[in-house]
Amino acid sequence: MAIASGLAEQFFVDANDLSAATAGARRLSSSMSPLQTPVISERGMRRIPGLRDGAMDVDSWFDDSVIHPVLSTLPTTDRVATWCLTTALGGPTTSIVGKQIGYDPTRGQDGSLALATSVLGNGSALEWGRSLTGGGAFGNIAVQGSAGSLTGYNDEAIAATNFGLQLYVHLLSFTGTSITIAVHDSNDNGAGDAYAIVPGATTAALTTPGAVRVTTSATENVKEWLRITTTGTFSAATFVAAYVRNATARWF
Amino acid sequence: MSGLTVEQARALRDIVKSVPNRLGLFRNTLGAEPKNAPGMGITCSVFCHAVTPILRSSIAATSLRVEFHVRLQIPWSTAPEEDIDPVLMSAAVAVMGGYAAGLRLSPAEAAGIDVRTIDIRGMEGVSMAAPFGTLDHDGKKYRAVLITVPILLNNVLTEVP
Repeated sequence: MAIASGLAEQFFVDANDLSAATAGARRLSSSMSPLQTPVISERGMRRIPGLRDGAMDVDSWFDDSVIHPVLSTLPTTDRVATWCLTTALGGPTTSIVGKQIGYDPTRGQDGSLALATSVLGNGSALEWGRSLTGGGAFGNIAVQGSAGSLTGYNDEAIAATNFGLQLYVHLLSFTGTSITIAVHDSNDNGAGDAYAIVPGATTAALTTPGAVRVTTSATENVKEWLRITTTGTFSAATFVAAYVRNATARWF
Repeated sequence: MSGLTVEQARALRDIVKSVPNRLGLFRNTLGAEPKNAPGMGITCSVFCHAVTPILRSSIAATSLRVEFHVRLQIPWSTAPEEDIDPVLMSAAVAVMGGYAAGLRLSPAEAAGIDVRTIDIRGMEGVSMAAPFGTLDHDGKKYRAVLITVPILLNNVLTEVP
C-alpha cells in the first residue's frame, strides 16, 4: 500500500484509551537539536547530533467521562502516551514519556468545546515503533482472560538486530493477581526456532492498570519475529503493547 | 497501480456491493440501477457516480476518487407510512457502518487495487453523505436515500511530462 489516511487511529495515555474523544494530533514530533561545529578547513557548516527531544500536541473534544477525568489532573509525574496510526498488528505507533503541559479549552463561536494538551519528553524523545497487540476486534487493545501468547509479527524490512528494543505497555484494565507482559522472539515464527523471551523486554508483575516504558540491554539481539506473551494469574486484562526496535545504537 | 482495468473496476464494484449485501436487510442488492420498478421491501442498488483526480497525490502519479452511489429505495405505499423514514434511516446507517468497519476494502488488494481509504469524512470532496428524497420510477413512487461511497485509489494515473 502507498499513501494512507489518518482514519481509524487510537490514542492511549497511561492506563486510558482516549481515542473516542480525541479529535486529532497537531504535532507528533521527534526532534534533534544539532550542534554547530564549524571548522576553518571547510566552507559548509558542520553539525553533530545534540539533544533529542519529543512532543505530542493533541486536540480533544470535551468529554466528562473519557478525556476530562484523565487530562484535567495535570500530574507532575511523567505521562506515557502512545499514538497508534492504524489498528493492524505491526501498525506504526509513536510513543513518548514526558510531562503533560496544559489542558486548555477553547469554546468556539459555533458552540464547540475543544481542548489542547501537550506532552513534552522528559529525558527522552518521541519514538516510532510498531504495535504488537493490533489486529484484534478492539484494534490495538488486546483482551485476555488468561495468560498466553498473541500473534507474532515480522517486520520484513528488518532482519535480526543487535541493539536491543524498547517496549511501551499500557495496561488499561486488570482483574486478578498479577500480569507480566513480555516480548518473545523467534527467527521463523516458532516453526523451527521456538519463541523465547527477549531478555529485559518485560514488565514487572503488574497488579494495577498503568503504563511503562521498558528497555533491554543496548546490545541485545532481537530476532525477526516478535510477539507478546503474558504470564501471571488473572481473569481479565486489556492492554496495548508497542515495540521500538533499534536499528542502530540506542540514543536514550 | 496504473490505470484501472475492466476486471478491476468490476471487482471494485463487487466489493462495494458486498457490504450492503451481507447486512441481510434488502430484498435485492443490485450491481446497477434497476431498469424496472422494484417491488415491495427495500431495494439496494450500487452504481458508479464519478471518477475524479484528487490533490493529495504523490509527485509521480495522480490518485483518484471513485464515487459510488448506494441507493436504498422503498415503495411509497409501504405501510405504516410513518415507519418508512426510520426504517430507511436505520438501513442507511447500517450500510455506512459497514463501510466504516472496513475502510481499506481489504479484498481489493487481491485484485491489484490500491485503496487508500473510503473517504467517509470528505477529505477529498463530499463525505459519505446520505440525503433522502422521493423517486419516481416507471410511474411508481419510492422514498429513497442515496448514500455516496467515495473511495480514494492511490497513484492510478502515472504522470509523464
